[in-house]
Amino acid sequence: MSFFSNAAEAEVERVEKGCVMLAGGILLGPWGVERLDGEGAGGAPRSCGGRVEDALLEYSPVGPSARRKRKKARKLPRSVRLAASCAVSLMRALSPAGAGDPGALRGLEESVGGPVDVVCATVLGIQERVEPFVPGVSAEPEPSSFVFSNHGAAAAFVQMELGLHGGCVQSAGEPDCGAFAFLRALRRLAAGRCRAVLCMGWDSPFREPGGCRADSSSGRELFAAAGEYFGMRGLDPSIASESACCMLLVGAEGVRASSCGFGWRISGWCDHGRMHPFEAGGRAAVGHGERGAPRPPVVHVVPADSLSPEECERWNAGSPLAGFLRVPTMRGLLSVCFFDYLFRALRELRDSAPAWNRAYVHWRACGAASSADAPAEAWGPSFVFER
Amino acid sequence: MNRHRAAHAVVAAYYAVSIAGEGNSALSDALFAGRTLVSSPAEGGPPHGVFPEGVTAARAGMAAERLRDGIAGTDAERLLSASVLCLEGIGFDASRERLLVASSQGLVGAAAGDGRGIRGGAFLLPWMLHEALAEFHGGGRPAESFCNGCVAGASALECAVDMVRAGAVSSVVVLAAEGVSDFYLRGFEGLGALSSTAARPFDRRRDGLNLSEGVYAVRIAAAGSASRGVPRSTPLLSAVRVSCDAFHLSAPARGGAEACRAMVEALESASTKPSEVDAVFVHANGSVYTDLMLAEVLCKVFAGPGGDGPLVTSTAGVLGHPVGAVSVQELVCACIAMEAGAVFPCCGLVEPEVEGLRYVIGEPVERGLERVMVISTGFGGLNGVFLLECGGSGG
Repeated sequence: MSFFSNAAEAEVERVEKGCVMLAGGILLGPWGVERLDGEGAGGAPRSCGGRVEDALLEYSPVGPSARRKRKKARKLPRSVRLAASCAVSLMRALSPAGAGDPGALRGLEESVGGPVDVVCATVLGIQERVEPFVPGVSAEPEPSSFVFSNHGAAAAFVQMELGLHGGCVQSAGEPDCGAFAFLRALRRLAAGRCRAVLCMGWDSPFREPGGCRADSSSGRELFAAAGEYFGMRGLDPSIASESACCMLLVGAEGVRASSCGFGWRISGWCDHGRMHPFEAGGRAAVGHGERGAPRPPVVHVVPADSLSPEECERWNAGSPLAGFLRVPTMRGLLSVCFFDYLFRALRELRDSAPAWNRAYVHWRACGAASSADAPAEAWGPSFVFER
Repeated sequence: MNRHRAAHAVVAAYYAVSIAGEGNSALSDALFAGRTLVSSPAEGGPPHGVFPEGVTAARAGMAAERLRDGIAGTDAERLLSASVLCLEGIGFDASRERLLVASSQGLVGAAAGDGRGIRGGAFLLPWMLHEALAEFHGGGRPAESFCNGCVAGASALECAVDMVRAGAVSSVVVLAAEGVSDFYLRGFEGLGALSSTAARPFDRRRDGLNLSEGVYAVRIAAAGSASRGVPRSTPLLSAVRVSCDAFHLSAPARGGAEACRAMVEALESASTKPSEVDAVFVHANGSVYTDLMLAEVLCKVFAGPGGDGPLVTSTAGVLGHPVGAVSVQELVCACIAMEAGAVFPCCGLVEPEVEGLRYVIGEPVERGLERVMVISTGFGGLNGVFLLECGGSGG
């Protein structure tokens, strides 16, 4: 049976107006910082595990009273500093004024001509501030700790720092919340709710030093428990990343932020029903927007841990595909794992040859990636990118 | 700019499991009685509202086996029971419908405070529900979570409307669920946000809010789907707006510029004049600054010559403040008022601090409600606004 037969168009979320993947992207993890529009492969070899260097969490507040806030910034929880540092780095990357003009870093809404929303994903980010509070043992939560225990606090902090007045949608508590968050960003843009969306993932499964009961569950234990519960392969505590953060900027069609060179169109996505990314989901994504046969060359981007080279070859036979691009995943990055995957895929697509017209980027749910005998109908969204 | 007419989504059904008990009737009776349901615990501490025991016991033990050991007897299990009860009440069909779950911090207290360390924790509510539903209803897709503070419900509703309008699904159930835990109580107490009495929304003597529990479900469906069982009288969700003050992590911007923008844009996108709004259900919860900001913004948006603006009320005096479930609580209560043709009183309000608004004080006011606005605000300076219109099924 042809890979493209029975295109399940009904399963595709149709959009009258697509979205634009802007070049703005920052990935910050234990291995360092990478920019989406950077040269070459960029960055040190990645490996899950360890903490983000303290130096990377040092950032200069850019909002009102920045000087006064600089000292306070050092007292913020690590996860919030991580998010803020990443956001400021991204704005610096996008700003034509560069680092020399902090005021310009808050001009994103003016640049894109309207409100900028934030979608944020975290699986465990909240825990670093909750764990120290154990009734009868620890002190009562300090007001700042309590506020930051809120899942949305890091996103709100970023909005405050960068002066973003759009909506904020926080997804939390699911291993695939990064993928959910990205889908929400696309939906919001397609619905005309905003001009651009800052997509953000952050997780910090390790507690901060001090203030914890010696016998309370540590971040690593929590991490392991979560992995066990979700049935996720790759959540071995020994490879847990202390923190990682990724930000991508997606715009409404027609939006071009200064110095952003990507401009790839995202013309459709498919997110519902239980679907194997290479069966129902794949066909649905291929079917979207097509009138007749797909317009080659098309490349399928797949998580390397979800499809073997042999399986790719089998699927590729007799299809008009330009090929499969197997992109490594690091499921241990939790909410960031989807963004990390997308980030890598975008960079590889940018540099790939031969040229492609269309890329179907698939994701396979973390739970489904946990074992070799994962159900074939496991959920996973697909995205259609066009040059 | 940013005009968006969300004119094709309706509130096809709603169901409440509140501190008034299970079901819409219990909630309606409590609202129109106008008496607070929060109380001070016998052992001391700030007054708050909790589910009746029957609600939390009804579906206890529904978690999947591997989770059950971790949550048995905790607040997490209580909230899960109430949530499953609510989904059953609205007739959620896991095999055909999508589920969006809104909760602020939900189960943090239960997880952190049970003496066994964190076993699961706040991040598990959507998955617990999924597992519980899978046990009894045969699966379905995992629920999606919305966790941004007190406007979590607004965000989930906004997403549901967009999904329905995009034609991606024919109906979505939004479940907003929140429990009260020691962590919550002490955290809000640390912020100086809790009242020592029953909350007094908009009142000159207000001194804080009352935390409370609540689980509310609404089914958002495509308009014009009367043939699929949506009654013709169902309210049309004609506009949804969320904005951010970008001002402070917990306090509102005093001028309320972004809240004002959200209200004005909601009106514009639904082609509705302020004078056409019959009532405003605003989650003023008794907070000193938030209530003041909201009242002043309402004056800006709705005050006109003759002082015949919309009726103004809040649910917080009766039901307290169930954090992440607040937006959906207000929406459900607005639907109840539309169905009843009357606006329930703003319990706790005796002497308004800001004059010029038509507060409903003391007794319900009978009035046909063609168009109403629902407003909520939350941590991070987020503002959520909905517009409801009568008779949405005609599409």
